[in-house]
Amino acid sequence: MKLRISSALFILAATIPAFAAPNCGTYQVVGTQCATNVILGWGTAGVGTDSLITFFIPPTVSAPVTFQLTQLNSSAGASYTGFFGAYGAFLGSAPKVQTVATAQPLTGGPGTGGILHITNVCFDPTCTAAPPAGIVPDMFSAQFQVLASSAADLNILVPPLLTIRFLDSNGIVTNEEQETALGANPTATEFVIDGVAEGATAADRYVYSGSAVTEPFVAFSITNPSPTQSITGRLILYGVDGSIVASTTLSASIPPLGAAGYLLIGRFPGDTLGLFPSTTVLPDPTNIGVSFGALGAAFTAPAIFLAQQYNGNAMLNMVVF
Amino acid sequence: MRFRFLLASVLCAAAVPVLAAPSCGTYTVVGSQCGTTVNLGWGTAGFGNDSIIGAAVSLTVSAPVTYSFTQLNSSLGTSYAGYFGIMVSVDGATPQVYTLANSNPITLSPGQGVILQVTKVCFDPTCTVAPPAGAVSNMFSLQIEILGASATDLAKLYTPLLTVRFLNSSGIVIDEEQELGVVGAPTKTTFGVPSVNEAATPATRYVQIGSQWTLPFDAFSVTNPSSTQSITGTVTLYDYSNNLVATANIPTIPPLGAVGDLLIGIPSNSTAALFPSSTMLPNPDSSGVFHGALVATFSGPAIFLAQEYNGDAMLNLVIY
Repeated sequence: MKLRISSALFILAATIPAFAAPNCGTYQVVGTQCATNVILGWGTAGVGTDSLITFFIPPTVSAPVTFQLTQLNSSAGASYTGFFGAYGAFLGSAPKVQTVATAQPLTGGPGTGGILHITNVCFDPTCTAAPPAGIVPDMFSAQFQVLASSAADLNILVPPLLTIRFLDSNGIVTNEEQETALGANPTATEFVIDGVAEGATAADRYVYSGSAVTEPFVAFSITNPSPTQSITGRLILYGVDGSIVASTTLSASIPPLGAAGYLLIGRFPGDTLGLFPSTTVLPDPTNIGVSFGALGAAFTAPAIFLAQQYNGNAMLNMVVF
Repeated sequence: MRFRFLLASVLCAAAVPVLAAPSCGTYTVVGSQCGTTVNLGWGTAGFGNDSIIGAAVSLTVSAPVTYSFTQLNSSLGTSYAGYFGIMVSVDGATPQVYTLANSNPITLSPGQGVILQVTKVCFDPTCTVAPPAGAVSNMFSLQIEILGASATDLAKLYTPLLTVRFLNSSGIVIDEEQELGVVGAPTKTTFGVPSVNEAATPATRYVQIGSQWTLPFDAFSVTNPSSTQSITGTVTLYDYSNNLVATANIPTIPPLGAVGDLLIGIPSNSTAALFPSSTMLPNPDSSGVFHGALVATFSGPAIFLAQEYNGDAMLNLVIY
């Protein structure tokens, strides 16, 4: 009898190895599925903004796909070990505070999807505690593990899409931007924005006529996707003639899974949000009060680099190479 | 003497073939340089818009890079054979009207850039004639040939970037969007927009409070980059439960032509739209807004762009 059971197990094991270890190519094998990670570098929720994360599973996948939250961090990343959550829900459901520990996976069949609406980031379970010092009060980054039945299904995956909405006091959308999740392990360490336009002098910058800023200015963010290593970096501003206008290194390293946001140029002397000091004078060869050029950024390890240009009443989600 | 001349010619030809035909890899050999093309599918200039086209050359290229217009078209593409130009200021200089015939190449050294501000599209040299029937009054598309010394230089190139600015009557920017040039011959025929949000009913669509749209709506454009072949297409709207909500055909787009449509029409308004104004969309979460995805498929390569208007914002939609 014992021999018969052993034989049966051996035969069974010999016939189903494909179920135990799928061929996932360059993806990870997780149980009987293939897996990859996707990263959203900079979402905002609260303080006049909210974020919508759209999950859409292409109709052509062969089987359901699962998205599981695996990282949810504030701008302090791994250097902050206190409570951190996001208040929200899929549209049509009751919102609640969710953390990495409590977030339920989303599993959907071919052609299905959903929108996760996040309205606040939370530093305690009631979402009433103020953020610790030094943390951007409405910022979050997220990583998801995506599980599918095959490498082919993961190849046709639509990355989750983050839409940040800037809202006025009546909840009306005043600006929006979108960020596509990066797949697996980010590798880019160098970035260029070749369409930087900025008020040329301190007198030109951050001047408003009503709600409209009269000359453009640029802001950017850096997110460190590594769970283990800090990063730092150097940024160089070029004029359109290729000359170096200004350069600097980041004043502080970014901790693992942390992030930092900057204005390209400070608003006033000593503005810690400014990468370059407010006194910076930029070339203005055509004497229109605006300087045109390019911004280069190089980091010590892979990063997620995003940038926006504010101009008039507009906020432009800038193309970053 | 004649023999000596022939021998010298043969020796010379044997010694310098690399100058005559550089190794350009996947790029085109153009004389002694390597070339590629870049398509900008939908710029606007005039009627409250202008376009900024920025081009920059990497610091690390080995030699100057040259940019030349090779196509400049209205939305009618090759079906319009009349005058077409754009009013352009180059690096802040006095604007002038450029056509394909009178635009000069721009050559940039390593690290240099150029900014073109396009303020109008022109249907005569004085830029005063009204557009012909059927032409989008402020639309242009461009193809630019880029010549570099080597494939390595072209591989380092920053793709020309188009920024469309929407201006109010005081010239204040109220919205901006950016379009990265499509490098090389476009090949993509199917496009998806994974996040389409649109007011669910005719009564709630295109309602404004002051300047603000109370619920979102979408617009899109299709540009045909082929200089010889027309294209047609189909656009289909899906909800997030894998249901086909609506589908419609895109009318034939002539070579180098383009169309821009609202996703859904405005009641009692002749503005071009893909789906009729009476379209009812699913609203399972009772928010008054449909959420879903849009898939567009064309009979030939196309450049597909889309925007979503919401409140005071115009969002340049991510397309995959």
